[in-house]
Amino acid sequence: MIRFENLTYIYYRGLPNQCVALDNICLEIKAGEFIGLIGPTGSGKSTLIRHMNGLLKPTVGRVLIELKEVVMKSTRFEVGMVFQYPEDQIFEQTVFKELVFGPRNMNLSESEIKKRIFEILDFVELPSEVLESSPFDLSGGQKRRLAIASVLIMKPKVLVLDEPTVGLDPVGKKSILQKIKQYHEKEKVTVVLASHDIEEIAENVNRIIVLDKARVKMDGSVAEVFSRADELIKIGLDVPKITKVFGKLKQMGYNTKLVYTLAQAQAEFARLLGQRE
Amino acid sequence: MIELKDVNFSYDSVKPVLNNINLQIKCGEFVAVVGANGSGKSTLAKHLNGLLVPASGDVVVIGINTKDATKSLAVKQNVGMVFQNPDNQLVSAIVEEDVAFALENLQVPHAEMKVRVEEILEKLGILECRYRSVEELSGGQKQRVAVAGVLAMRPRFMVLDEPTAMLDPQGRNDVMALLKKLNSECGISILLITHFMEEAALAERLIVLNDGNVILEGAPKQVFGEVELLHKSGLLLPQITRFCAELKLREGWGIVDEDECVVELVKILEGS
Repeated sequence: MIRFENLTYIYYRGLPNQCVALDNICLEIKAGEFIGLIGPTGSGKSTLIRHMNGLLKPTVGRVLIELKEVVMKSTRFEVGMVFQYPEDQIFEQTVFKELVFGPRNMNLSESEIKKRIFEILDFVELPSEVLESSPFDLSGGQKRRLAIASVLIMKPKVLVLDEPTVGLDPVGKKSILQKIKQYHEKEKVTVVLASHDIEEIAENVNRIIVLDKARVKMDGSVAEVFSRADELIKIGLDVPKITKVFGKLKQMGYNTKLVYTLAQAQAEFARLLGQRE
Repeated sequence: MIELKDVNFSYDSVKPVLNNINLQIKCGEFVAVVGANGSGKSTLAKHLNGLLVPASGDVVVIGINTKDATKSLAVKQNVGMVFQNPDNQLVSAIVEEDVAFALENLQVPHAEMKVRVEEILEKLGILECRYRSVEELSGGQKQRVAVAGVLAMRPRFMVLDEPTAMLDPQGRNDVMALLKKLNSECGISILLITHFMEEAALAERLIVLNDGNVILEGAPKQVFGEVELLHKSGLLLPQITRFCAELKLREGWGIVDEDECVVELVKILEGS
């Protein structure tokens, strides 16, 4: 469980450009949840995320993981962080060296590391032939998968991803998210996914937390949050287009539920057609 | 007009990145280029203002061959570039100074510079930010400053390489609305590179690149009909287009607009 207790964070405290990035955040995330974190640019998403593994220290309040307070490096191996453009963090000369960097810092045995390498390569669908090649010879999508693999290989209990699919083509996006979802289901880990891609959020998460102006604006199931479309749009966010389409049908008097994903839309439309006949 | 004639390019002279590309971008057009990562989109973009020159073939910008080094300034002035991350493109600390940067290099007189900067900031809806620090702006605002800096040179063409990738939905809508406005009201030709098919759908013409080849070209509605080919090229149709396509609506594949989708669904529900 992750708990944010009255978390406030202030950048440039005491300076003329002082800025409250998080204002008294109280949140509880249960083990195994898949959370979507959304909010307009500058709402505090990245600042919140950086508190989860001690990269930032609260100005006021505290962050607890499994009832332990997060201080500095205490949760380094428990919380896996994937930042925007994670391939920019790749620094080793070979794919193999890149992958063993984390596990060696954890002092895992070489045999364990080896086992994990093959597991993870298989999981992210990178061929084992790439192990000795330079990470920089990989394609964009492969580099992204390698960067994520180098976090997953440490088997973190909490996986935090800040816009993991930015800049990828649609098929690459979909495949990365499928991998993350599979990992979530297989390992029963907690996942926090920050994204601007509303459809990506709708298709994958169980719960959405909306940040706006340094505060938690909404917190609830996908259905609860997306049913407040007007408020979301007002703060610069959006709902999936398919949701808007069914919202309009409802307004026109059709007896339809709101939908958020393509699969739901198909089922609901079939139901509507059935009703008519 | 920008004309690409049999353009070939490779970074390492082993692996071709652009393969015999033949394209024309006419004045006043709004063209979108889509394709998977590594398909050659950004390489193509960099050929349009001479940042890269073809290994063989020619790129001719309003009559100037980009290989002619003596005229490279004229090419760059006419073809403005905006990249994905505005942080890589903004050079000054203060908004209006950033917009004036290119004008200073072009030795535009101070009085005129002032007028042009004001006019552009006004048009882009960021005049109130003129004295602010670039660092304080939101992503969408920064991207608008980047666009302003390019517009200040009064280019005839603008090439934008995934300009909305880092923006939130509002920022994305703002930038797209701005591009539409620049195209329709100011007659600036737009070439938009994007991974968002919803954005590509707003163009008049869509070009699909795959492994350095132009594999499809046409109106978005027409291109969106090639579902299989697009998928093989790393692309997926927008959500509602897929929804309509699977319902096998007449011309369903071309539907990208919510209202249009609602109309079609109602037709089915009412059995007409």
